[in-house]
Formats: sequence, C-alpha cells, structure tokens
Amino acid sequence: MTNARILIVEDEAITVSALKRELVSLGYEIAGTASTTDEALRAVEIHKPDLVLMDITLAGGVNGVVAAIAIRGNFHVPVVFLTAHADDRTMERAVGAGAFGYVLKPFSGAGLKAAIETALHKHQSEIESRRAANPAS
Amino acid sequence: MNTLATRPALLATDAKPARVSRTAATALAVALVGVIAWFDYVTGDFSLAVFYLAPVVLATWYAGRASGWFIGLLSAAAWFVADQKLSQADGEVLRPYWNAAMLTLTYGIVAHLLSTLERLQAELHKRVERRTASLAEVHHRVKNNLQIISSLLMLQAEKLTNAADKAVFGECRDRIYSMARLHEQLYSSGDFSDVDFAAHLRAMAGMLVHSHTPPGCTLTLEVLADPVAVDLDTAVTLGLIANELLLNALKHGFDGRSAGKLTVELHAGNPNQMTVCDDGSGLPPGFDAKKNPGLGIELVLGMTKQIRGEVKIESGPAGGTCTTIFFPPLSSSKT
Repeated sequence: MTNARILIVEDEAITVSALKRELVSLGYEIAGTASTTDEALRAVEIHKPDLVLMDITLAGGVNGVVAAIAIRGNFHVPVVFLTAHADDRTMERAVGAGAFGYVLKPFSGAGLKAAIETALHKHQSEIESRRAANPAS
Repeated sequence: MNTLATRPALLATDAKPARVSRTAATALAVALVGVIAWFDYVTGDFSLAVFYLAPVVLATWYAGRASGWFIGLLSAAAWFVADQKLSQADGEVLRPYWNAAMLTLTYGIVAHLLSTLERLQAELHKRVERRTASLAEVHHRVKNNLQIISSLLMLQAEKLTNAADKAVFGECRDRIYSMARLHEQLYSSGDFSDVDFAAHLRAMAGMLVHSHTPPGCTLTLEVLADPVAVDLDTAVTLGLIANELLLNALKHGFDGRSAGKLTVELHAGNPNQMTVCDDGSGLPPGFDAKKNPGLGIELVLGMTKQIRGEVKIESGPAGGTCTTIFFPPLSSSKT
C-alpha cells in the first residue's frame, strides 16, 4: 500500500530527517512528525495517518508503549515501533501495546518497507474480518 | 521483516522458581528435629549431633538467621533430653548441660555463617543484575548512536550528485549496519562475552548480496559456516573484514556478467578460517596486495593484523578470486 500516510514519532531530529527521506523514497507520504507522546496523540487526531512509526523509548515521562496503547485504543491506527533492541522484555511490552511490527535501528529501506507493508496489511485484514463478523457496523 | 506475531514466546512471563516459604521451611525443620530427637532418644548412646545440622541448615537457608538459631536451640534442647537419660545412668549430672551449651554454640555459629553466605550471595546476584542492566543500556546507546551516524551519512549523501560518491556513503552505512547487527546479536543472546560469528556472517552475506548484486546479474550465494565463537572486539573487526571482501567481490567480481556464484565459508579450527570466493573476473596479472592496495584491501590487511590473523589472496579453483582470513580461536585471541 504505497502512498500510505505515515506519522513519525521520534525524538532524535537527525533520525527524523533520515526517516522522512527514506519513507518518501519508498513512496509513502509523511502525515506529520512528533517528538513526544502528547504531540503524537494530537497529531494522530489532526492528521489521521494510516500508520504511526514510533520510537519505543521517547524522551520525557511517557514512553512509546503507553502512547501506542492510546493510539490503538482511541484512533484504531496501526503502530510500528522503532527500537534499538528487539529483546524479549521490550517486545513483550510492544505486543501488550498492540503493535503491528517493529523496525530495528539502524533501519534500512528494505526493513522499513517490509514492516510497514506487513502492518498495513494486517490492519486491513483486521478491519475486514471485523466487518464480516458484524456487517451492521 | 519484523512482525510481533512471529514471537509468541515473548508473551511468556519470566518464570522464577518458587521459593520455599519461610514458615514452611521452619515447620519442616521442626519436624526433622522431632524425628532426629526420637531416634536420638531411642538409640541411647549413639550420637546424632551431626544430624541436627540438617534442620539447622534448612531453616537458616530458607527462613533466615533467626529461624536457624531457633532450630539450633531446639536441636540442642532435644539432644539435652536424650543425653540426660544417659547421664543419669552414668552418674555424670553436669555433662548434658555442658554438651547442650556447646551444641547451641555450634549450631548458632553454623546458622550465622550460613546466613552471612546467603546474604552475600544475594548481594552478589543484585550487583550482577545491576551491571547487566548497565551493560544493556550501553549497548542500547551504541545502537542509537549508530542510527544517528547512519542517518547523517544518508543526509549528507543527498547533497552529492556523483553516483560513485554516493556509493561511498552507502558503503559506510553498510559497515555501520554490520556493527549494529553484532550488537543486536550480543544483546539478544544475553551473553555479552562472545558471539557466534556464523549467524552474523550468514545474515550479512544475505543482506549485501540482496542490496549490491550488479544489475542484470543473477547471483548465487552459498554460505558454509561452522559455529565459531569470537569475542566482541574480534567479531566487529572480522565483520568489517567480511563486509569489505563481500563488497569487493560484488563490485568488481561480476562486471559485465549475467550470472555468477559467491561462496562464503567459515571453518572452526586452530586457526579458524573465513573464505570469500567469487567465480568472477579474477585477479589482474601481477597483482600484489601489499605493494599496491586499494582502500578496501588496505583495510582488510590492517584489520586482519589487528586480530592477529593472516590473509591469503589467490585465484579461485573455478577462476575468480578467493580471499582467506586465518584468525586465532577464542581462547588464544583473548590472551
């Protein structure tokens, strides 16, 4: 699903710039950027992205896992985590937050695309199976 | 591709062995004292003093020092009752008191030493946990910094117009990925002392062939890798060497060809061997790596020396080029 609109939530400015260019070169549209969880929640409400690409450890009090739970719960937008390490504890938290995938840092274009496309596909399948289960909704 | 659904085991919580509760341990120790005391009373002059140590140790280890002292006192009292029966027959009235006092002291010392040992063990365990957490944080920071460096290279490369110049920045990013993957492998394994280089080599070769196969060329990659454990320093350096050799083969080995084969081998031994072979255009006539090296070869020679290894560059059996790195096994590389 190219042309998907993606919100980047990351507190390292240099990484944000690199992500923007990489995502655009892969054919995605940047819905916006945010560096804190509060900004992320506001940006999701305003820009209504197709997917949120979020650093799992953001600066400040609330981490990406908490924000992901709020985004999934309130806006039903899939979240893909950016993380330095895919250790069991981190992934357990990510699964608990309802994340659809993760991208390891440093990211590569191929890794980003694979994780984003898989997450979008899973999200679409979820919507369709929910519709099939409850046609009135 | 990293999807969370492929990691169901992650949902399992850390299963810690259930600790014997303090009350249960003390109750069991009291019961044991009772059993030993009964035998002590029945057997008469057969000494069972050493057997009382079992409940004392049990109570101290699982229920703490106070419980250990209590069981020690109880054991001495039980011994006293049995001993009194004997002393009445012998006419030595004071002996049971003396023996009971000595046993109380002995069991008390055992309980004290054991509880101190248990406390020291717990402190050591906590210290190791703290150190492991700090080390994990350092690895986390390292990977974040590698991400920033990789991002900077990407942003700087955008300003370049020459494709060859851009490729240089791309190669630098490949080297950074190589180091980052090693950190990931170390962090995931939880063992920060050494890493299985075979897994790293397989992943790296696959990724580089995927991203750097010359246009129009169908390339076959064969990786024959034994498990070879190396320490982190050696792994980073060896990873960069492998990166150079693979990139060199991909860049120069298959020019103008529609198909080719790249073979990567890693064999354990003394020394270990890592070989990268292509069936491409081969070495130029009169090639001497030491006399006229390019940057890639210069780096390979320097880094191989750094890990106390040796390089052999030769023509491959089916044409092309074979480069073999000989490097010492883990035990001798640490000395």
